[in-house]
Amino acid sequence: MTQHRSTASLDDRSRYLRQRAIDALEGGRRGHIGSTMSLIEILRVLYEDVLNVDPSNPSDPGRDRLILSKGHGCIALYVMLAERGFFPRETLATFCRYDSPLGGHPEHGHAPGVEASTGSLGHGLAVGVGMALAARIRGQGHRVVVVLGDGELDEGSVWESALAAGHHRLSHLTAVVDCNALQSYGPVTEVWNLEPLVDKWRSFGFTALDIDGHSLPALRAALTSDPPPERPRAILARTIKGRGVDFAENAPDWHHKSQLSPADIRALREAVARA
Amino acid sequence: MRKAALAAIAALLDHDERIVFIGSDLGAGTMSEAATRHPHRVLMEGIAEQHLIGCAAGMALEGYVPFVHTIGTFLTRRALEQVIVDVALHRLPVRLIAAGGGMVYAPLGPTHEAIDDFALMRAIPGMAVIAPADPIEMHTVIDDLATAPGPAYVRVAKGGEPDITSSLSPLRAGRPRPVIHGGPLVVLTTGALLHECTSAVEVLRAAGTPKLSGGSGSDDEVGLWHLPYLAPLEHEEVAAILAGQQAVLVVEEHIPSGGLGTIVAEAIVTLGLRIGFHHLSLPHRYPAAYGSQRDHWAAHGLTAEGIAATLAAIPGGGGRV
Repeated sequence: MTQHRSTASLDDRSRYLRQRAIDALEGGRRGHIGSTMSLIEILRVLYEDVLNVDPSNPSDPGRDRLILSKGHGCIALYVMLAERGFFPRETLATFCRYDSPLGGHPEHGHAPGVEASTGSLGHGLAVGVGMALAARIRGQGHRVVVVLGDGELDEGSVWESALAAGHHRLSHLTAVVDCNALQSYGPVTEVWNLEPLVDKWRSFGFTALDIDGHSLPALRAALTSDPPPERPRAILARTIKGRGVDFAENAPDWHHKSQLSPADIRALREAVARA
Repeated sequence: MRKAALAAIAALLDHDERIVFIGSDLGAGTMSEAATRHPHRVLMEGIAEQHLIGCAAGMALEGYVPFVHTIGTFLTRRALEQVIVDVALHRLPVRLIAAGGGMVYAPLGPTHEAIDDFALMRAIPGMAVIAPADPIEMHTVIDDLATAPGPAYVRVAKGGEPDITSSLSPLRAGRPRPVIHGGPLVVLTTGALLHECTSAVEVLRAAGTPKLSGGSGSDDEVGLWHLPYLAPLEHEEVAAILAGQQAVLVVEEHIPSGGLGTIVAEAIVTLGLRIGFHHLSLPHRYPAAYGSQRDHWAAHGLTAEGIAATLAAIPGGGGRV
């Protein structure tokens, strides 16, 4: 995995979604900026083109399930849930406040539309495997999508769950890895090299695709294609941490920020406007 | 007792489509008949406790009631964060059926000895912590867990325990069970040691008077209660047992902190009860010897003889008042 800076400009919708993410950053004066920005297109395509979810019937047994296993990227999830109507857009500005439904990591039962509480890494894929097994027992065909981070793949529990998913041939389970190539301390390749990552997932019984995680056509094609029967699917979405904020792209300092000032927020908004 | 637990779960599988059994690489043939009848709801998974607890939580989020079974220390220690985050934080009805409670696996060494399980599980809000004393109680507990809300931890004893609770009043979640009415000294215990405590009281009675120095010498001067539920367990339930007593002896197969002794002490302090407090437990260290469970009970005064000796030495049934 190599880090690269963005060259193509964002479309209006992607800039708009990032501005909504900044609404949350502004309200809470904090947040995981890098992961939020790398996730935007992944979650945009999932919530706007792929997932069958209905905010008026959030417990529909036939709905698709999404678990954000890299819970620290929750602002991107909150933006998409707000856009889909699970809660008003204005709620984004309450991020991390004492009485807000939107915490610094997503909580089931607090934030409408959040299927599982996450925060500590390495938990989401196991929960997704359980959901997929439950769907199999009932003969249901809905999707279970788990979104992980590449740094999260350091957790051994991820690979326990990958073994189980491959063994059980959970074809309705999709693991999307936001490969933004940067973890908290620095480049993933320098902390713990994960490559060859496609081969790793394939060796665990998954079909694995390696795509540009900011390309809407690539994401749509990967997420809407039928997986080969009897295999779970891994989509390695190569992204840029901080995408859309030029000074935050690939910058470890922008993994997480607290006490964001009005000037910081203004700089973030201006950067997204020109992205 | 493990047989009783698995038989009860197998029966639930036959009658309730929400029930799921998840084993972690258990002994060959375990639950094989149930697996034949319910191949999608009896899962024999790999050696991956972290995954299994998360997976059980995922199934519970979908409306299933998973019973997860493996060695207790692997559930409470290896997968502690999954138990907390995936199960308890979501308030899910996942059942942790923990083989080898206490010192059952003494010959296998400290990695397998569940001497801190009560403390670890009691620290988790909403977690029921249950230690049945015999197969009858185990069966009742498992049946109750088909419908009880929230997560539960069940300590499974060695096996071969005699049925000693059949004559007691009905088992109810969160309620202590009177075994022998009496005072001014009362014994509180949980799990497999109920049998030892019952025998201890019988030893005292057989020894004749004076059984308690300063006591009346009557047969009913020692009461005995079983507390199969360490959680939920309200302080008031403990206070009701201790009312009118001069001293209490808590007997448990657990380190001194975080188990039944701590619960009773908390109740005494919180409610301002005036009563002598005595505690028999395992020491607060990892066992350095092997042998049998009974060897360790004997070493720490937890056999009937040891418990009887402690009881007899408690002055006046309340020497610390």
